[in-house]
Amino acid sequence: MSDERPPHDLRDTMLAEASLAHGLTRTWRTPAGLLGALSTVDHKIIGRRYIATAFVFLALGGILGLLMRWQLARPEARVIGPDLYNQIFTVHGTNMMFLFAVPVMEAFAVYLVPLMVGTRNIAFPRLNAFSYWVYLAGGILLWVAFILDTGPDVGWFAYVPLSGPQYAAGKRADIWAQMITFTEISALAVAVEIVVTVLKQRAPGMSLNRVPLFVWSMLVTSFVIILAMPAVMVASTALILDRLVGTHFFNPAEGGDVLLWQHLFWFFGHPEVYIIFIPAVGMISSMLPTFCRRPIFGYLPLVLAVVGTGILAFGLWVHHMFTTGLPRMGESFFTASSMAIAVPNGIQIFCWLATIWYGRPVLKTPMLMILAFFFTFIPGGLTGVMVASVPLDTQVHDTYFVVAHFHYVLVGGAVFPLIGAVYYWYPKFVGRMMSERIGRWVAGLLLVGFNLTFFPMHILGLQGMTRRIYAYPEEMGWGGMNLFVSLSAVVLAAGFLLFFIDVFRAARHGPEAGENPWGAATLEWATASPPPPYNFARIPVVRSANPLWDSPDSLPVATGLRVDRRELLVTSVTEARPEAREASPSDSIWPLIAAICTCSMLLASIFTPWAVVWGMIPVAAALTAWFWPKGSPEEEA
Amino acid sequence: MTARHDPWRLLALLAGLAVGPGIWALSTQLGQILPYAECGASIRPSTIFAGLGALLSLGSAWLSWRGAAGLRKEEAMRFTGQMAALMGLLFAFALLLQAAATLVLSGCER
Repeated sequence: MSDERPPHDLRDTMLAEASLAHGLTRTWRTPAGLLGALSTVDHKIIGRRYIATAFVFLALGGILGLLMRWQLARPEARVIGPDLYNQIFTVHGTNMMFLFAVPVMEAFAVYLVPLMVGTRNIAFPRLNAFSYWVYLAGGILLWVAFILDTGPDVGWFAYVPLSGPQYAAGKRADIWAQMITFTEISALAVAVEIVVTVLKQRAPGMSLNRVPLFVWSMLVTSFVIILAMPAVMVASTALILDRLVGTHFFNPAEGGDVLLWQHLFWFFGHPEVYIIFIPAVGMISSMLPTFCRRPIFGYLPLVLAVVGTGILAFGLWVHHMFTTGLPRMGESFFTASSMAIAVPNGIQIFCWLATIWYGRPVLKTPMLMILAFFFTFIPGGLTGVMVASVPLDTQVHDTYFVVAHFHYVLVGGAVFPLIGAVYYWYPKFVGRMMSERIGRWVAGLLLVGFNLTFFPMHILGLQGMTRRIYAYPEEMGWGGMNLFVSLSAVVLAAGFLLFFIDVFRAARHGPEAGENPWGAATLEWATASPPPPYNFARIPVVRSANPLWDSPDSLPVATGLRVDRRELLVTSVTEARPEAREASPSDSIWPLIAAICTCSMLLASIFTPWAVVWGMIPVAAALTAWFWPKGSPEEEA
Repeated sequence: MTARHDPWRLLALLAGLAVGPGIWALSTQLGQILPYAECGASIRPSTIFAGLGALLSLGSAWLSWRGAAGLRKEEAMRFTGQMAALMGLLFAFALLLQAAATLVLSGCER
């Protein structure tokens, strides 16, 4: 860094607190108006949009779930026909996995990771804006297609040959395949941003052994996304090529292979479970110390658990394919890994129990959600070990036992911690507290409703009720249990409805939160609620894993950053030693335009392969404009 | 010289993080390929590979642990070494389970 400073080189050391805040606000704020809203690259605004959009998709997916339960409540019901039922369960699964579960976890990271590591914006903020628009377009594509009776009807994993040209006429399977491309582009973009933010933008002193556990979990998740998601993008693109261009990737008659689809899909699909689950465990590890009033027990084993789980996640995919006729010895290797992954997860649970045991637990709503997680995820994990065993899996494959298992794992393992995380971080997002009284009702209704809905499905599965059937004969004797499940689903839905009511109510009428309403230890609580556009007036310096507990009066800070341009600190990977001052890109409309061009090209390519050729021209033009040198200080760093 | 600037010390420190997962990934792939060759054969390469892999993973864990023990002043590097050592143990366990599977099954089962 040179000592010669340009004439407008205004540093934070030259200003008093009020002038500094004013100067930073002017530099980092998002301009008012529609253009400002469409151009913003503020990670907090984009993170909030992501979270809100993902929860809209949760509500829509939940309505589809209720429709399925309405149909299945009685034997031989005719509420919904078979064709619409096929679309409903496909859109429900696709929506929940690709439009809710993965994006919502990444959304939390987009908002929280920069704050937790003590920086002013996410890395590649324009890519972040681009990723949101592409995600939104993917969601709109799926739901508009469904409303127009062109919703995918091939299951959320779209197995060939069912989804291939022979058996899936029309555009329904293409909508599924291309929607995957939209959401995967978006997820990959966010993953890259998070990796760079965590590795290069941490506050000085935040060495690897002091990184908050939610940040660790998002780092691991991002690597899993980067390694897993290309497989499904390759698969869905090959499917579109088979359907549109006449290639034969999945056609055995011409040298293709139907099992190739399953391998590619599940090479992504199983890590997907951990892409959803690992952030949730990071949330728990971040919330638990706050409500146990003590540092987390076993920081090192908890980091080991998320990293180990992230790697082992790639050796489990064949346990979704135990009935496809692969050699038993090969399958048993995947059983071995499926059993081995229970070890890091078990370690994690014992660390959390030890934290509770040695702490002074306070039963606020986030803590209740964590306890609900224990009661639901652990049974889900146990049935996971059961279905990882080839003989048992062969018996219950494609039955409601599996439906029960994965809902226990995904809702128990991810949604309960997520709702807890909303209650926990909502004051930071909005500046107001959600209701404790309503929160307790939400926790109770969700826990009771969930278990009453999904536990009986284990029994239905063992009785032989298969997945994806739209009706069943009365003689099967499943009617009573199904009616009970459907009525219980109403209790579960009531819990979610109450949660949404509380979210909207608290935004206007909740009590003001202040900087750190829970007395938490991590850096996001060191700034105002909601945070100003620049996050921190001065970049905090970290000396321990619990900076706000270990420096309760005032955090040490790093100074010398410019105020008149968007600037942040780049630090080293291991020790987080300051290395450089780096410019952070300003707002731009080009990510939105690039997203519109990309999405149009992808959408049109469902109908003609030439769309890829012609569509590349506007995409290239938009990207050229996006990266065109501006001659502004942002390019100087 | 700090561990970060000494390539051999750095390699030893990270051994558990690389060796165990690497061998495990390879062994998992071999588990898909070898059953066809092993059915009826007297020598079982998958048993040997998974068994030796488990031993190597344990060795890499020991290297990482020893490397970390000497880093009293470099907290972050010591943490990384300890994590690598635990990772070596975890993947040694996964490889042992795979080796056990090869002892139970002949490779002929479909």
